[in-house]
Amino acid sequence: MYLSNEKRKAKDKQLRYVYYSIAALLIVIFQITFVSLIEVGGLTPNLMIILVVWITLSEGQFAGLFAGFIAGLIFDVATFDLIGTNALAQTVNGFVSGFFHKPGKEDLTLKRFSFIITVFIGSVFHNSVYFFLYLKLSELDFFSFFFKYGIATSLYTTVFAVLAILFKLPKKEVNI
Amino acid sequence: MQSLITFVTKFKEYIAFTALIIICFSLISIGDVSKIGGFRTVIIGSMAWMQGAFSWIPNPGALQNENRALRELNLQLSTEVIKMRSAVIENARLRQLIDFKETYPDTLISAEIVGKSSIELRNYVVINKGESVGISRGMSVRTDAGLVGTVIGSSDDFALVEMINNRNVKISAKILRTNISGILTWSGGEYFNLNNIPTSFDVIKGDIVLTSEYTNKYPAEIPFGVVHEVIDEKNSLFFSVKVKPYVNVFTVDQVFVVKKVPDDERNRLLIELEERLKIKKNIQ
Repeated sequence: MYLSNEKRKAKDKQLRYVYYSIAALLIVIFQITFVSLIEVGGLTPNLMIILVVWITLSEGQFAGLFAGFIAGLIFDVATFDLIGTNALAQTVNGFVSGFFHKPGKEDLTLKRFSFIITVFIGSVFHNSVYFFLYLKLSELDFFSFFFKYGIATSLYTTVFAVLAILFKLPKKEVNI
Repeated sequence: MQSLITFVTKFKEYIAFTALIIICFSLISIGDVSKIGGFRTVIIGSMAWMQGAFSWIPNPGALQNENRALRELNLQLSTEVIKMRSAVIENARLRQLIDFKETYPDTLISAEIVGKSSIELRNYVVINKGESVGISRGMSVRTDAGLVGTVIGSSDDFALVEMINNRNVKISAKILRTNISGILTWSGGEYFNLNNIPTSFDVIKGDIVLTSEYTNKYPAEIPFGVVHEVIDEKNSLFFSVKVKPYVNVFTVDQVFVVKKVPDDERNRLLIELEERLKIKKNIQ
């Protein structure tokens, strides 16, 4: 009985990672193909941040780090971005979000207001790293650009985190 | 060894974070956005195909931006169209002037109006040519359309022109169709009055009015305008004839000075006659 429980847990974990991978691919496709449809004043949400926070709060900081790295790397490859920029920003996001992970209370964390706060904080860190790297190559002032676009983008991303909670994913996916 | 494993286990997140950061910076340092090759081209191509497949979905934000850009472009183009239209009109006018200059028997000096002044009902303009090119007092000024005025003063590089729309000016004119003569005067407004035309004479709307040979001030046969209205006033022996000048003196900007001065002997004779009449009037 104990062994079968262990096996079931391991199988569930494998299944969850498959779901995460599929979700990451779908988000990349959505982010590239459809996100312009929900553009507001040149701002678009970064749904990958939400996924990385979700994985981090579900699986812990260690898993979140790698999830952020891999998700960012996929995003870099799929876009014209310099490889490593999104990977770095998402790794930072995963690392920062990991501090909000509460082992054994994952289910509650994902359904509460703290998830939204975590997404916002993770997004702010992500954008600060990303815009810093992005603006290093240009003459633009980092702080004015970051406060104008970085914070606004974070807020817009957070709105989608609210939607993620409101819609509530199937229990199997939420309770991971 | 055990302590090392414990340390790694305890700080595995920090160690992994540091390692991943180093990997990211390494990737950034070796990356080159200007060269995208290999599998990335396949992925980007696939993404582009996907974007193309869903491009039929309307994007209100993009449409709004496109509309804004098109409106700005439209404004810019309409401004250019107006400029081009002005250039076409100017070109046509200059061509007319060149043709006219080639066919006119008297020597003409082309000039531009550089200043305008209006004092009560007396209108003057300053042109940018003067004595240095042979302009002198008394020469008539016209356009290809008709009479503009006469030079009343000149310096080396400028000349002052008394316009026809001046209450002091009297122009001896005739009707081309019937050769009937009269005196043109201006008392403000768009039209001139052709005076001294008896009601028994043949004058109709649309008759062309030219300067007559009876004046020494202006050369004869210079087009002046067209009869706009003929009013048969009761209890008067003369018609009230309104003439619309060909030249719009308020918008004219390029003129010709007819290099022909009035006959001095004829002028002197007229002045003497006027003085005699004044003396006779004073005696009476």
